[in-house]
Amino acid sequence: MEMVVCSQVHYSYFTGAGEVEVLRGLDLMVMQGEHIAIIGPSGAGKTTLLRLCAALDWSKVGDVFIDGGSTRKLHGKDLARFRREKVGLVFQQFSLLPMLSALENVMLPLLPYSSRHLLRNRASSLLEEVGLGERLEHYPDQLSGGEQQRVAIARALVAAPPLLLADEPTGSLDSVTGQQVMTLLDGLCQEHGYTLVVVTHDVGMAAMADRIVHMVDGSLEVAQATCQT
Amino acid sequence: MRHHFFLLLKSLSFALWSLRRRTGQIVPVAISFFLLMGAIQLIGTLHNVSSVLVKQQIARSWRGPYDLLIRPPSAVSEPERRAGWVDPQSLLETYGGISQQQVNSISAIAHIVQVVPFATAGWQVVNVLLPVEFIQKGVYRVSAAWNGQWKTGNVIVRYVDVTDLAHLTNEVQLPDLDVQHLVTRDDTMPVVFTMTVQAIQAIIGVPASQQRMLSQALLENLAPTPAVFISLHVERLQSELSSLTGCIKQADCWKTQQVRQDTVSLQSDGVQMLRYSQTRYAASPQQIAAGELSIVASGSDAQGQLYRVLLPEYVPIPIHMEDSVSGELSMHALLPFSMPQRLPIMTNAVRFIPLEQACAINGERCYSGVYVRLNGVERYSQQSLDLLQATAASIVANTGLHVDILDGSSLREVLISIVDSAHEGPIASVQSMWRAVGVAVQIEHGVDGLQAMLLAFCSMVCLLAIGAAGILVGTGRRKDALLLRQVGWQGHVLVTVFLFDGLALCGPACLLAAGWTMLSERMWAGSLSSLVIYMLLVAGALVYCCSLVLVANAGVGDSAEGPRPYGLQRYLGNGQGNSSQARQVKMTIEFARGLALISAIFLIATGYLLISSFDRVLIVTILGRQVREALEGSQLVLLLVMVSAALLTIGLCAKLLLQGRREELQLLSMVGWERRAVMLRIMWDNCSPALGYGEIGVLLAIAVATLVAAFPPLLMLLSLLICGPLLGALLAGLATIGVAWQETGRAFRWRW
Repeated sequence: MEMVVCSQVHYSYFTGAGEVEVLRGLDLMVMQGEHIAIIGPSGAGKTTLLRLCAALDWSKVGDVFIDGGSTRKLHGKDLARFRREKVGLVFQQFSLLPMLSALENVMLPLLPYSSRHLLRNRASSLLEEVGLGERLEHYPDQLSGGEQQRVAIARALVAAPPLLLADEPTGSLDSVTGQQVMTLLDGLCQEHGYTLVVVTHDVGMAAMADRIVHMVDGSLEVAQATCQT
Repeated sequence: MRHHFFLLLKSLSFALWSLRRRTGQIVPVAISFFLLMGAIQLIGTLHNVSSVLVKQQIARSWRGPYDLLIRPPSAVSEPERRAGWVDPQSLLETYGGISQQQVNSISAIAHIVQVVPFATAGWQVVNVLLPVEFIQKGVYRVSAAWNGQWKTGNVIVRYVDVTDLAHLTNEVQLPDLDVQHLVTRDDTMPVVFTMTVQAIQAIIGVPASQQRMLSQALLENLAPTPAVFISLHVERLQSELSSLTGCIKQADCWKTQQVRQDTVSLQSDGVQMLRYSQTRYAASPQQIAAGELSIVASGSDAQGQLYRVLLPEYVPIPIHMEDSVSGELSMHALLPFSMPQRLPIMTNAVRFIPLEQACAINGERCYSGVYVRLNGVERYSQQSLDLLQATAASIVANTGLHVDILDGSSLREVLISIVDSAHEGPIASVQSMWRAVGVAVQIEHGVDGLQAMLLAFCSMVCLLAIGAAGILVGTGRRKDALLLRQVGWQGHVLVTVFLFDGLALCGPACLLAAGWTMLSERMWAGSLSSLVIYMLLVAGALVYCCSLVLVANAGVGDSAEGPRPYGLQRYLGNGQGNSSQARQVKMTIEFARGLALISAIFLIATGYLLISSFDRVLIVTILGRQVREALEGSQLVLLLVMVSAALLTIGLCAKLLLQGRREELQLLSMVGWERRAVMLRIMWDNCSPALGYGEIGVLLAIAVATLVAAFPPLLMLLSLLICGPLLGALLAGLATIGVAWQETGRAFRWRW
């Protein structure tokens, strides 16, 4: 079953110098439980593609379907619910709130929408799963980069979304830590059957994916399977 | 030297150069400065308006028929001395005390054009005659009560036996009972029984030429008591006279009778006047502030506490007096006989006699008080006040008497509690009108003080707004400061550059504000001096420049790396950067916002406390009420100005704080929070500290009020402690909601 379907997606924006076309009729299909890596040079449109998948932006032409539903139709409450329940986001800069502890940061997405007690249990078990069971009450500035990214991963998984989108998740980490984080992410997705889309510059990290997608100038160049299933 | 000049010039040129594409930043600065100027000028103008209105109101009630009241020091009770009040009762209870020599000495003082003494001679007993018709023979019980007070025990009872001569001669004697016998001739019915009830009236001697004016002055202060009336209840004994003794307390022996009551008439009684001791009052400072007094009992008798006791001296009534009393009084002019002994209720039961006649009774020091009229105090002015005070001081120095300045005084309500030592709490209370002296001056000073305080705090709030504007611009320039530092600019050069930058930004606003001040000075005269306005303008410029320089340069000194993200971006990055500067900025903004909120709540609470205290001390007077009515509009505008200034400052601070939280809002939007939930979070974050700030503002106001005036009443205290934080949260909410909506709108359109 398809988790992500991009159909003839065009995306552009305007600057003082004129229109910049980012995506040019992009077609992409990601199956449920699949792990794909999107690689390509800067400005290829990788992050834009991820944003469209997360319904943080919308294409001018074409449509993006997540779990069978069009993101174009999402507004207000439905959009918020989609972002909360359908996708989990992991950023290069971790984006943790400094005034919240690791546990609270993980609880953050569902804080206004779920019972605090249940949420706390869920967040604790996720943090244990990512190896931070002993650091629940630590604040971001008391954690290393790798630990912060693990907290960010736990936060992305708190609502058990079927699709996980990671934008350069190892970009701010050293290679060893990056490898560990990537392994963790991949393992969690395989364990829970989540679909994982990773944008990365690092070919080594991309190699862990089921499929690597090359993006050049707003369109897919080559689709390459990395592991035989 | 040359090098420094060159550096300054270069810094100035760079500051001007860097203003390009940032001219829009002049607008918030200009708004802040105009707010400062506008608020100050508005306060000045409103102060002028208030001052004129106050003076107009005071001028209308400035002067009565007399300017000074002189009393013997012994006639002035302690609460009167402390509160500056004149007790109307004391004028009727002081039997002499001022000699002719003292009056002559007063007359000799410059500017005094009229000296009018009066003498309280005593109280005259008056009989009230109540005719009752009986239509058949029998034994009757006639009961009378003043003002329908049947349950107070002050019921006057008479037993009447309507009989014929034969029965009367055979009748049994009842030694324990006073029974009056009405004998009918030839069984002629009905017969009329005239019941007599005693009442009293005060007797005061006044000069014939001044009788009207003096009665006006003396009776002005007396509380208008309800018209005194007497009710009758007649019962007929259902058996013989011999059984009367046994039937007195048995209700079934008696049958109520409907009887016809004829016209009530009055008759003076006795040949001597009564003299009572003065009423003794007690009051704590809090009671005085609340306009409350207690009466201290002078003694007690079989019926209970006596609040005024009969003095040992009995004064014979001069000839001709009873003729003038008889039949001329109306029921309204009477007081129940038992009342003056126990209660200080005054009615208009006063009778004036010639002063000479009163002095014949009182003896050498015959005058109870002296009214004085002056020349040169016709209008309310400082000269009039000075003249009145100088004359009063001169009278005190010459005679040792107590002097009250009546001009600019006003009547106020005083609640008098009558306390019985046998009971807990007051057994009764009465409202009375007393004269509060010096009301005009207090009102003027009070209004001046209120305006000065409003000016001070409004200026502070506006300066905070200017400071917030400086922080806003300074935050935006932190990145520039980092870059300049990294390319080798020295710290002091950066300070100079940003100082010039601040001056360049606030310069136009300062010039416009100064121009406007000059123009407005020509158009209408403000009560504030130009010096104060310009000093505030300079203070505003300094606050703006300092806040801009401090915020722009905060923590850039040691930067050796590439440009770091600023504001909360640092927090949202790897979280390992040096966040103390960002935290410092955040704390500064939070401090400014807290200060603005505390100031606003403090001002509102202080205004409320001051106005309440004003109410308790002055507005309770008639003049005070008139002044308050006149000032309501301008005070409301002032309050609005102050609240607007506070709202603007809080709004600016909220904007700054939210700008620092943009990434957080964006993150919340990305992880699926609804806008409503984000709004609620922002509102809670902004309103919850405001509860604390509100409480601090209220506590400060209470502390100031306690130091300046008195500890506020408990109910007011509680209401302030509860409402202050809520008001703080409301103000913060109002100031934040628009900015929060704007910022969440931005966050929900965020792009990577």
